Amino acid sequence: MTQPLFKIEDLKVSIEGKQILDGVNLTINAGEIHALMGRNGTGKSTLANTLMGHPKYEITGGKIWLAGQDITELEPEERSIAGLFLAFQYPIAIPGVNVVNFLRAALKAHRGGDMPIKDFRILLKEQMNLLSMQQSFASRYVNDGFSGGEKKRLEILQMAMLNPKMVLLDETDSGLDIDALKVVAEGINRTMTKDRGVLLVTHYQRILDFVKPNFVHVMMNGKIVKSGGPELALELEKQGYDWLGKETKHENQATAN
Amino acid sequence: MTTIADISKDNVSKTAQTVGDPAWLKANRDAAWERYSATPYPTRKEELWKYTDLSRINWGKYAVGTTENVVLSTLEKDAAARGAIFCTLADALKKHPELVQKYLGRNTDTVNGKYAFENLAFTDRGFFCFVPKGVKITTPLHVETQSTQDGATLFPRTIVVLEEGAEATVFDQFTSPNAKDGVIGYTNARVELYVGQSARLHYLQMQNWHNGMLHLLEQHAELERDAYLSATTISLGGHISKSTIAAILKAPGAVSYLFGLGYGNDKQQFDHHTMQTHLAPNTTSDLLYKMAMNDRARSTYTGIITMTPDAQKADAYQSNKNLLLSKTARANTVPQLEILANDVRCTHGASVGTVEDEQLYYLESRGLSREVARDMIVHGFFEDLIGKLPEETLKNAVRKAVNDKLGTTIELEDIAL
Ligand SMILES: Nc1ncnc2c1ncn2[C@@H]1O[C@H](COP(=O)(O)OP(=O)(O)OP(=O)(O)O)[C@@H](O)[C@H]1O
Ligand SMILES: [Mg+2]
Repeated sequence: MTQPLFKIEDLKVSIEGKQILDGVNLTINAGEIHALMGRNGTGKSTLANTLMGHPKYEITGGKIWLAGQDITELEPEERSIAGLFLAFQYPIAIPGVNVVNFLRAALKAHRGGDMPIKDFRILLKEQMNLLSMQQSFASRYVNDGFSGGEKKRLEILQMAMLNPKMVLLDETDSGLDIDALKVVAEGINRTMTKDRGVLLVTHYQRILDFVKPNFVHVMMNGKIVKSGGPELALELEKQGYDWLGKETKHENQATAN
Repeated sequence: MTTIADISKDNVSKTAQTVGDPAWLKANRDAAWERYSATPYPTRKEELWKYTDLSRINWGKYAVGTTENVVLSTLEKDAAARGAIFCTLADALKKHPELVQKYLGRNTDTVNGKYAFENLAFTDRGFFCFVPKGVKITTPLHVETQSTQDGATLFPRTIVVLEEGAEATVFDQFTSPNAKDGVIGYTNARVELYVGQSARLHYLQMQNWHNGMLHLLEQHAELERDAYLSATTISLGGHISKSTIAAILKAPGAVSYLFGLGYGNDKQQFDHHTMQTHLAPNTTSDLLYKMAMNDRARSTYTGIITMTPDAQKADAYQSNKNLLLSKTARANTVPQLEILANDVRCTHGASVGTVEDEQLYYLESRGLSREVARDMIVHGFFEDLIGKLPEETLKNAVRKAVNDKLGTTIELEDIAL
């Protein structure tokens, strides 16, 4: 059997002593898109940030594998270089650092050296065009005073420039109008390859009409409680999460008995 | 070898000889020497010297009479033809003694006491820039005062005069090319800026000395009616760096901007004292000083806004922002107001902050190492200030100097798409 691109094994995480993730298991193969859904506060962003290596989240158990490499203990920058990318739910502003210089530094870190300025310019222009971003955007300070939609676009631009193997998208669709949603979804689809894996955190079916998931998972109380195909998202859209709560309570009781 | 510790009147004469003083200057020096001898060194009991203690400096380490380079860029032909002057102080004294006499030592206002007399008595280098009425110089004039010798002592004096309606940009840099570790030095500089009616001066002063330098600087600017001054101070080098920067708004309509940027690491100490002095109605002054301190470095900012009874309808702003990059770095900020007019606007603010973990994490998640991420945030912290410089070449010179100091190689120049 070929090894999976990305594997999360029984991941347990706490923040400031409080347990948030309670044993998450998930395998994502190259070429697959997985959607992760769930109510507010169930641990989706905690999972995404733990996978990226946020220092605040303490891993108390389990392992994370990327392309056969155990990345559980790696620093965020090492994970990034290894090919992991997180599009943040709430991207952070870096006042005074413009998009161009930021992207140049990131690309330099990934390539282990500077890219000729001409090539960089061509690449950036092309990617910005594809995301319907005006050129003036490049000289603005990273996420500083950006609208919600602009922030999400910049996340996708970064993804397109860095070309990661494994992409985590944390509510990249939230707060977007329908046109922006299409642009962002196209950005995700256009850069998707048979070598890439995607984990897309969302609350809405809307984006899944454009970015078609192979699998849908539901998170509750820091655990994936249900997995299925694309139809699961449609069901959640119709019925909400209540029915699942009951179902899983039963399951839990069953295992307890 | 004579040092600062055993300096005598003899050294005044020697300096006068080396520089080639006209009689009036020699007389000025002698008078300054008398005051120097009669004045004790300031102590930490004095408000201005509370944060910078020079009482334990061994003045015997610094040799006087060292010669060091002053390198100037050339003046545009057109401006030169119209009477503009940009040359070393020694040259100016030879070629334009009457003109220099009008300005050199014209102003003896000082808060630096003994050190100011020391500079006047021993002024040994510097430059003179004179832009006559209506002449506009577009290319920045660059002068580099260099220190290369161990134990060198420098007493530079910068004089910039803009007559009515004149314009110029001056980049006054203090630097130590190829200085080796452990090399020491002492600089006591005086800067005088005279901005005439409706004249516009951009003055950028940057010290990126080697780390063994003790740097003292006192800058005095006078603004006439409707004059415009933007004076930026960049402090990067030296083990102790103390600058006193004054803008005196003498006539209605004068506008001054004072900007300051400092980055300290290791055990560097920075002390910036600013004075925005409004002597006339409808004058405006603005100030932004940004300091980032790493390791055990320390920054003190003290600034005073003075509004005399004549300064009705004057506006003054003052802001000092500090970024601490380590647990052991320190920043003091002491704003002060002295308002004697009743119809004025005056605001000031100060802050001391640290780099946010979330910002570091965001940058690291893009593959930047912690060091590069932090340096990027530092650059970002300075960027609004750098953006206020008038020329792209000057902006890039400052970015590069900050970059060199930080030691990481981040590309920062603006690239158009
Ligand atoms: N840095 C933090 N410090 C303290 N508690 C946190 C932190 N981050 C998350 N939590 C807590 O962990 C739980 C899970 O939060 P998380 O952000 O992972 O939820 P989510 O599923 O992403 O929610 P949403 O759908 O609203 O984005 C919440 O109870 C939250 O308050
Ligand atoms: Mg979330």
